Amino acid sequence: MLTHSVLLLIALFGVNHLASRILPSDNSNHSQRLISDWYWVKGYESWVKKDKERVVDNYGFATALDPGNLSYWRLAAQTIAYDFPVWDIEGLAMTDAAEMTALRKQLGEKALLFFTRSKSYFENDSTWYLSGSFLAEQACADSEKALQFLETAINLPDFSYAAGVNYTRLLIANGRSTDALKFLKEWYPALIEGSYKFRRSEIHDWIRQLDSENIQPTNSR
Amino acid sequence: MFSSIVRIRLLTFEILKEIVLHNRWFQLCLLGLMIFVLGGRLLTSLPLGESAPKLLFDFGLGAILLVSGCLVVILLCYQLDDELRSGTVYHYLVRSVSRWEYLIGKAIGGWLAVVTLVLAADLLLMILVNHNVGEVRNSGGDIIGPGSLAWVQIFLFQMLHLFVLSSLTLFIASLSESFLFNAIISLFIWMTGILISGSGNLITSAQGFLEILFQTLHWMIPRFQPVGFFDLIWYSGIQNSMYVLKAILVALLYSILFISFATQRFNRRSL
Repeated sequence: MLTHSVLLLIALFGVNHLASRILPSDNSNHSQRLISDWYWVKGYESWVKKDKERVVDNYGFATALDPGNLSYWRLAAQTIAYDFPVWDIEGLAMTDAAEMTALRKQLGEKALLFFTRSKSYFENDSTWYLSGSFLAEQACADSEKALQFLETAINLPDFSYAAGVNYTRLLIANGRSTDALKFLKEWYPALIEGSYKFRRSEIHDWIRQLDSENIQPTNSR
Repeated sequence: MFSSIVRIRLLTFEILKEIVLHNRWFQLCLLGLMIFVLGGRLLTSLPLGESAPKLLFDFGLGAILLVSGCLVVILLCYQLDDELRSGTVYHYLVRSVSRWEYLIGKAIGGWLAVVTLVLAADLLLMILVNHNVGEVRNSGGDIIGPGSLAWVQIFLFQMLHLFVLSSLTLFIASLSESFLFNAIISLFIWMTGILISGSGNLITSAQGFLEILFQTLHWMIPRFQPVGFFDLIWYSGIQNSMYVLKAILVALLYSILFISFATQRFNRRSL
């Protein structure tokens, strides 16, 4: 009996040691993705019931078990940023505009914190930085933070057109038109001629407008 | 009545001692379960944030539920089958032990053995979850794990759940002499009971024949609701005494029903 107990203890310590050393992998296997989908459906069930705690947990499990799925991260963060404040405002029957803005900002920051947990899985994906910038700008009302996301995106070798355009828009909105013009001039030669994805003519027009300093800060995307 | 209790007690401890001290499969299951629960720590290294302790809690209790449920069914089916085949059962029955005493002693003995395993695994899981909750709180998270009383309620619920399952297994084992049939049918009913508990949405959305089928199954099969209960404890905290009392009464009702049926069946088999 004593030998068994000693062996059991040694095995337990061994597993404990091993468990703390193994790091999570970004290549989730098929069964892991199935469980992730199951939790996503459970999360939707909680969303229908407007149960915030369960939504965060279930969406959290779904994203963590399939961390390479950007759609899950993005949708879960958007649920926290945009749906939770509406539920709270309805539930508490809020009428004060300042209180509502503060609540939206607080939940926006929570959503951004949730979203940034996935950073290590999308280090070289400009779409991730673009999604982060939207959350920072719209949910947290923090355009400086949004710019930081996009600055990292445009330094990637293969960033998306939307990332470049939004970076320029935010620079102009923050009164940094010179930086915007400099960026557009550096970016323009890299754009593919005749490509729908990378619309050279639009960027060309933008450069011309900025050069003639006719550009106005705009929120259009 | 008192002599019956004494006989049941003696039988129970004889079976308990046999399983815990001499059954190698049981000891291996204990070790496996501990390793499985401890392995749940791997999950906390996923990007979970404040939800990490909940996943550890879910995973641990799920592993305990599955291992203990399968173990109690297989242990009881195997022991009954073995004792009937080798004739050891007559050794008990000739010592003025009646069939119901023998069956209750068997059910309680097997159940207590598995309960010790569940207790050990629950204690380990409690330490792991509380440690993880502490880690999350230290890193600025706002989360409260289940308190000691909540763990006691979880353990109590697991005990009731396993007792109903042991009595159900005895009832199924009284229908056939085949170990495989008994084990598979008991496990099938148990699994269906778990699935039926969570099929509320299916029942409301089903139409026509399916609706009737679901409702009949819902009505017939004992509903094991461990997963829902664990969620309830995590999100709403401890349950009131009326809830606990109701759970105890329902578990007792099912157990008495199954053991009575099993005794009837054993009487008819003229053992």
